[in-house]
Amino acid sequence: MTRSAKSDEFGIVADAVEELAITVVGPPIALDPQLIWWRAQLMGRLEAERRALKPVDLGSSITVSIVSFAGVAVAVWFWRDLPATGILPAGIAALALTGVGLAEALTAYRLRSSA
Amino acid sequence: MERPYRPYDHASFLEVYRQTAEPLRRYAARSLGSVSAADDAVQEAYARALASPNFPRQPQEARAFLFRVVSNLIADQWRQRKRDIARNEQPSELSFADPALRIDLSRLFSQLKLQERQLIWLAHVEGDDHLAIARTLGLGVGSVRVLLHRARQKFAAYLRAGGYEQSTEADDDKER
Repeated sequence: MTRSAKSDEFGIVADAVEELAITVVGPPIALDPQLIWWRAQLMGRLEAERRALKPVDLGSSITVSIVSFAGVAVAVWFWRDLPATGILPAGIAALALTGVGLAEALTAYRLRSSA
Repeated sequence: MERPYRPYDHASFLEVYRQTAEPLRRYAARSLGSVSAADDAVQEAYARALASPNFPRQPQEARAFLFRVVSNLIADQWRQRKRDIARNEQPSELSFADPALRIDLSRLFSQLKLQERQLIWLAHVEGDDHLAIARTLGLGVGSVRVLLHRARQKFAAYLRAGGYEQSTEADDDKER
C-alpha cells in the first residue's frame, strides 16, 4: 500500500471516530458517584470480613479431623481389649467421625483455594 | 502475602470519577453498542477498582487501571449478550441510532468485532499508544500493531462502502 493510501485510510477512520466520539451518548442516568462509592465501601467491608473469618473456618475443620483420627487410633490401640459385640458399633462410629472430619477439612481447603 | 485493604478517600474518588466517567462511558457504549450495558459495565468497574488495594491514586494511572477493568467487563458482557441472543432471550441491540451523525456511523462501527472497536476507539479517541492499548486489552504490543492496522483497513472499507467521505480542508474552511 502506498504512503498516501495509508494516510487516507487513517484519515477517514480518524474522521469517522471523531464524529462518533463527539456525539452525546445519552444522559448518565445509572451513574451516581455516591451510590458507586457506598457500594464499594460495602464490598470492601464484606471482603475484609471474609478474610478475617478464613483462619477460624480452617482451624475448626482441622480440630475435628484431629479428634476423629485420635478416636480411630484409640480404637485400634485397644482393639484386643474391646468386647466382640462392641467392636462393630465402635468401629462404625470412629469411621463416621473420621469421614466427617475429612469432609470438613476438604471443604475448608477448597473454599480457601477458591477465594 | 495479601495486602491489607486501604480505602480510597472520597475526595480523590470524586476527582477521578469526574475525569474518567464520560470517557469510560463513551468507550463502553461504542464498544458494546448499548448505553444501558455500558452504564452497568462502568459502574461495576468503579466498584471493583475502589475495592482493589491496587487502585492507583495518580489520575493518569487510575485512568489506565479503570480502562483495563472496564475492558475486561466489556468482554464478559459481550460474551453473555451473544449467548443470550443465541438463546433468543434478548433482542439484539448491537447499535443505537444517532440522528446527529451524517450517516449511520454507529451501525457501520458496530459491524466491527468487539476487539476491533476497542482498538480503534482507544487509538483514535483516547489517543493511547500501542503499549497503553496492549496493557488495557491484555495483548502483546506487536499484536496491537497488526490488529489495529487490520481494524483500520476494515473500518475504512466499511465507511467507503457506506458512502462516508473524509472531510477535507476545504470543507472545514466552508464551515468556518
